[in-house]
Amino acid sequence: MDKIIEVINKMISNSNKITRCIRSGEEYFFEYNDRYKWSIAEAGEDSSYQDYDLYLYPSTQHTLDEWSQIMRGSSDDFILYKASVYKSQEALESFQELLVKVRQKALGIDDILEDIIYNS
Amino acid sequence: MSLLIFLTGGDPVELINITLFERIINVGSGIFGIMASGIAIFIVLFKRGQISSAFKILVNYSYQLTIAELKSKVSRLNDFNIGYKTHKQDVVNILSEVEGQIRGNKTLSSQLSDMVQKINEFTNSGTKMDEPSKRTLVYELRERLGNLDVENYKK
Repeated sequence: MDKIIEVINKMISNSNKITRCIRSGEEYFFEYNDRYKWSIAEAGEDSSYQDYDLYLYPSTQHTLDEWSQIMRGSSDDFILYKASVYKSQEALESFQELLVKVRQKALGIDDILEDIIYNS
Repeated sequence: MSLLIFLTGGDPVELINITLFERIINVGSGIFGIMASGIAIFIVLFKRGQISSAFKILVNYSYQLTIAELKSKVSRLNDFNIGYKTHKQDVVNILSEVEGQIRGNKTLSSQLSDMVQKINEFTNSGTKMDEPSKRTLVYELRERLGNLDVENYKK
């Protein structure tokens, strides 16, 4: 079975292990478990279909900050997972929720929401 | 006994009087019996392959139907979100239906035995029973059911 869907949902369940979220335009770079470097972005310019691009950077070629600043080239080590490849509702929702979680962390939304809930 | 009397040709005084009508019926039934046995022997000898393949088609059809039903049940799981309290019970109900249907079919229960285990692990995972792990389970179930379909088609 394609493990990536399980991996995405595992990261969502353990979103406390998502640290270091860096925004670069519409792409969000993040680190999981202080070890694994990823980035995720919405793909597909037209709104006729939803798609998401999830990148995994497996090697020590660059740091997360570096990845967020350079353009990916053909000699770079990364894997691209596209949501549309998995052609099922639950797969799409998984990518979608991961993006939302990462965005919330990058933009500090979590802190705002917690502050509203607990301090007002 | 009446056939015996007919064959010996005689009408012993102490025995029952057999009418011509009864004799004809007796012979007729014997002949039909021989014909029916002949047909059965013919089928067994020459048409055994056709009969068994017709039977296989029937068994396969019910197997395919079960797979199709399971696929539609599993995709209904996508309509529910475990985050909503009312949906949680629906998800559990559907999953137990799916598990029951898999177990009820000998072929499916052997090919999907690990999926049955995963369904059980999921429904018994307590607080870990969240929407993301539901999605993982749904994805894997759909993939495995889809693969079964393909393997079957090849046969």
